[in-house]
Amino acid sequence: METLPEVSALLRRGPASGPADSQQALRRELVLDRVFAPAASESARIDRYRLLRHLGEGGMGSVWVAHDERLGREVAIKLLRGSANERTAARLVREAQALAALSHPNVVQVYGTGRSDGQVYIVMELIAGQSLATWLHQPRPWPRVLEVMIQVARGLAAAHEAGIVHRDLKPSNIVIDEDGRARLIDFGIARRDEDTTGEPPPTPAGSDPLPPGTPLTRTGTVVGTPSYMAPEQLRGEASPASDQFAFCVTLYEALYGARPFGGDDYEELIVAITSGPRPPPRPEADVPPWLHRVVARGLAIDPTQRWPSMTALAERLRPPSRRARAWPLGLVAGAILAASVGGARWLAGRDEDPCDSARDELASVWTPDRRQRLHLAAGDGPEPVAGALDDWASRWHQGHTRACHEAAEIGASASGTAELACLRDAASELGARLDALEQDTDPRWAMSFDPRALPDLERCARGGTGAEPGDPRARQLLARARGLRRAEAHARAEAMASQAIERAVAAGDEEGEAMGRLLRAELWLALERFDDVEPELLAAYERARELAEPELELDAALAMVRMLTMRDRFDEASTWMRHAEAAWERGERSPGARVDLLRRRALLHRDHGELDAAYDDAREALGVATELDDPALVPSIQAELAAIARKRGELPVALDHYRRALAAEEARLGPHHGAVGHVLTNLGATLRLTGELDEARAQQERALEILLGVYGEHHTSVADVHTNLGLVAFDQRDTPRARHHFERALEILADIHGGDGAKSAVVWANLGALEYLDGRLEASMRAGKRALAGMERDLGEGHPDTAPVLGNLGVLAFERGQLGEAMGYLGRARAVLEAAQGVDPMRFAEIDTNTGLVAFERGDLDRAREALRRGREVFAREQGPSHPRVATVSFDLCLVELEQRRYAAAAAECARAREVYATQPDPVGEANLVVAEARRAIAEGRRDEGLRGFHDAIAILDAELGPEHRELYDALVHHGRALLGAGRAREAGPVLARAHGIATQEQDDRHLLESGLYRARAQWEAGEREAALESFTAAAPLVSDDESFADAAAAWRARPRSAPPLPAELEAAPP
Amino acid sequence: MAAPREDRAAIIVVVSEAELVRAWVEGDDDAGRALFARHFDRLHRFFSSKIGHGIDDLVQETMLACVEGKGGLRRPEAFKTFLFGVARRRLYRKWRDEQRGSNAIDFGLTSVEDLGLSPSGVASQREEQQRLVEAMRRIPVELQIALELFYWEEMSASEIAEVLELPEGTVRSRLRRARSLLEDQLRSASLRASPGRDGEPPTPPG
Repeated sequence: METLPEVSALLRRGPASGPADSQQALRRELVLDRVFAPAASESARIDRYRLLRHLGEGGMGSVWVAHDERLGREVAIKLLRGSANERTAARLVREAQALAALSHPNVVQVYGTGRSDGQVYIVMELIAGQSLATWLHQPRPWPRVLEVMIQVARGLAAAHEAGIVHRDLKPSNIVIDEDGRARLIDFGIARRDEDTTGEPPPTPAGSDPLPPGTPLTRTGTVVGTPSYMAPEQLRGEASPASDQFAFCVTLYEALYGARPFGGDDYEELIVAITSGPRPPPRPEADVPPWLHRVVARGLAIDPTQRWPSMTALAERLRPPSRRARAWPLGLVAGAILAASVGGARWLAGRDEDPCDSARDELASVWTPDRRQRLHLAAGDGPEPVAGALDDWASRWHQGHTRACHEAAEIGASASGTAELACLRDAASELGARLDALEQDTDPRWAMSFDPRALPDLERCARGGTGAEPGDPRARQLLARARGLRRAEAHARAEAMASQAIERAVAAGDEEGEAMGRLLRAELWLALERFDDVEPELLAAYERARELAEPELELDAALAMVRMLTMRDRFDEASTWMRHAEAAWERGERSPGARVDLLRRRALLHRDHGELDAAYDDAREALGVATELDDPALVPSIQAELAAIARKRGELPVALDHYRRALAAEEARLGPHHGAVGHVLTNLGATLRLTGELDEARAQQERALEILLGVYGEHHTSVADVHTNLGLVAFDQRDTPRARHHFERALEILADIHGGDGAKSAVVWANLGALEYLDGRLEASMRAGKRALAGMERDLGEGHPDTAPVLGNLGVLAFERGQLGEAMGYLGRARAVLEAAQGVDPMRFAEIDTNTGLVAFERGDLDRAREALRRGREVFAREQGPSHPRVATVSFDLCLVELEQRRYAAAAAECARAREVYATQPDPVGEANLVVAEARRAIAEGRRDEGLRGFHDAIAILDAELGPEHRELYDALVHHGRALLGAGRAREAGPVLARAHGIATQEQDDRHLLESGLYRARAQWEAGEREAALESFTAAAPLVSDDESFADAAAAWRARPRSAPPLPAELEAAPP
Repeated sequence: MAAPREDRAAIIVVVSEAELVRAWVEGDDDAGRALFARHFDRLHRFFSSKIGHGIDDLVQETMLACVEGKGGLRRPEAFKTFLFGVARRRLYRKWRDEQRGSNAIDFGLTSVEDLGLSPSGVASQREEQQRLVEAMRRIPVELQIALELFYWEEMSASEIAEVLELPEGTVRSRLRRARSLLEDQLRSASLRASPGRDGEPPTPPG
């Protein structure tokens, strides 16, 4: 045994080949590709992109799927041919950069471009889907075709607005992804010349591009598809108008299943395009005439005869038939009968009452026919609008009957009293609004009829006139704009509000103007046109102050708070909240306004992490709202309460609140309203936390559908749903899907808010966790730091949301061996949690146990003990005393105590670990426990018991780990020292020599010194003086580094060769 | 109606390697990829000390075999044992295939050098390590593996026993024997005038 350490030490120093060089990393990825993605072929590389597989050859170059190593995502990369020429290459790069600047849901996203060894390449998003050409392999009904082509038209219009011409539009250059989203790809940038000069079609693969202006006929073979080219493009003039032509050829082909221009050969085709008759509709296809007219105009020979722009054309692709869909008269008759019972109530039972004829005033306005149309337009959900109108009509009827009879009693005519006049006005106002309703084509308009904004009947009963203050026309426009907002027709509501403002200004209705401005600002807020919002709100606020209208002031201030929180400008939001509070104090202090104030303030508190304050406000708001019995208020407060509960980790409470809010909003607004979408995504996020992932995903997908319908792609709430979907995918271990959603969210947020704020930060944090899961510590660290920077910028340092990011960064630093940095992050995480309110205790426990491990690793044992104990306490309390986490932490604590030689404490900790581990035997842990007990026995004078314990423990470890495992070192040293203490130096010698052997293998200076000195003492006491001096001389050079042995070593050095044995002080110098 | 602002989404908390193994066993390919990425260098080292070419292929075969046979992995903690068990069997199979005719090679007796294989993948700046590597190739394969797993992969005797499919006591005694054989080899190598260089098989002792 004693001769082995040399070989062992050599072996311990490790294998000859070093760890992975860059080539090895590449080989590793290739092997992993083959194991986990069997289709991948051999790999090549361009800059930071590793080519994974060949997608296809195009006119301009080859397209590959590549892995972007820096961002860790898959991309499509196009290698352009013929880009060796310096000038051409520079232009190509420039054009690709222009494309990269364009971001539109229906245009493939170009991420960037570059040159590598003269090779120009373009990096694009990778789309999973099929080309329109493939999609058209089976016939599609024209409405489906239109859905796709409207998107294409929008994408093309956006490109044109950015000054980009596609030049090669055709079905194979349109991709439809798995979600049905269409994107334009393959912009024809690889052309030799500028826009309007010679523009030959793409040339055969590998051949040189043709000189400018070359007639097509001279090429003989044509690889591009001239079938889609406009007459002027065939002459070399590409423009937005020629793109429009190509679009219409494509649309024609998609609608009719055949191309509009044909011919047996190329010459005939050219003739057909440039001078032939325009294609007729094909009778066999069921395409409506209006649609054919749209297409035909785009195919005009003269570009000026086509649609003025793609934007104009896109507008025309919205079918006029939407009106028919909105008011499907006479359809689904069975359903109508049942639904119109309420409407019939006030029509039934006519008699000869003189008041009856007056009721016709309403009967002619709210007819069963109208009710039926309204109901159908509102969709198949509940019928809040028609129901509310029924109720209103019923109350009108009662009021009218009573007023009419009262009038008769006092001898007035049936139309004579003020109340009856008021009721008559109310009926005609309703009539006017229903008329307006029916002239509209948007089906959602039906939902815009705010039942709470119906003419006020109580005012009639009080003898009022029913008239509102201000200019009636302006107020009517305002009411209509509010209705449209309710229907989430934001753009049209905005136009209506502008009209109202104009009218109010003209009529000198200043209050009306302020109301209009406020409304318009709120609409812009919904549309996320943040730049416009702030001045408009300021104007509204100031006008309200001038008019001394505190109610309006309050609303403007609250809207400002909302805008500022949406922009993560929390300090300013707090200031405006104080303005709002002041306005409320000055005003009528109406309960409704109070609810608005409290709700907004609760949200602000929650954003600051002040959950107790948020909860108090929300509870108070709920109380007031419940008393008010206003169905519009309660659900949003419930949602706020749910959000607070979720933050506190009270998931069942949160779920309950969200479900109630959802049911209420669906009943009130129908199933497709944005408010329903908001509740759904929050409900889904909470379900995810409870582990119900399938349901969580279903709710998020429903939310996404709704919010896309309401706001379109580029909206913060859509990005939020993507984040939430990413989280669900993460939990379902679907990493690519999670990555897709996170990246989508980042793109949207970067567009709206810039990429560096708190909103993007959350997504970066999650992307960082994803990188960690993929083992990319470096990338994970980067993402985490970016997340932290974003949060600290907008939320301020120490915001509760930074805690998990800090915690993750701590774990990452720990894994990378950066212990000091890890400690810093974890300490900050804990400080943040301490300052926050209502934090889930488990989050403390995670941070604490991690802190304990880092501290232990650094030798900071007191701190390790403290942190581990704190963590275990929480685990035991929250998850029960026999949870595995309790065991692992107890074992770590046992090691800490052993390290500090607190034997009794160590024994207790190990015993606790053992209790939990009773079902899973852990011999090494047992042995450590025995060592702990032996050390304690020695310390308490039970020497024989202690020596026996060491012996047993060493035997266990020997058997378990092999004779020279480093875990044995401690047991051996303690055994040797105990033997020395018992005066059995001859036995201690070999034991300490073995410990010294292990220390030699480990190259651990501290252990070498300790075991060296004890071994020297054992030899000295055994009378082997020469060997002892040799041992000491070997250990002595190490002494200077370690203070704890310095004195003992000095004593050795000072001692003459003939001096008595080693002083006992050495015993008292533990490391 | 003002829509309530979105709650900030939750933030993922990172997971351990045992978690990764569990995820992979449950069918998560990305977790699997991350897992095998972590162990690639280890496997590569295992093969490169024994064969000269086709190392990546063997690494790949091993991984594929792990993927196919992951049902045999009983505890996530025992992943490393499982991995090297598969690697060893793959290696032996390759040698048996190559040495057709001598169907029964006893790897407890035969060394890498006996097999006539000269790993070229291993190059070392340090002469001391070079000596070690060459000595290792001259002891029986099974002993070589035991030493590597013990010292380089820090596996316990019981884990090594599982990899080699031998009783634990046998492994312990073989470890001792391996060390003393290796010591002999190192001693005799240092007596020799010139150690073998890359690409040039070392002269057999004696």
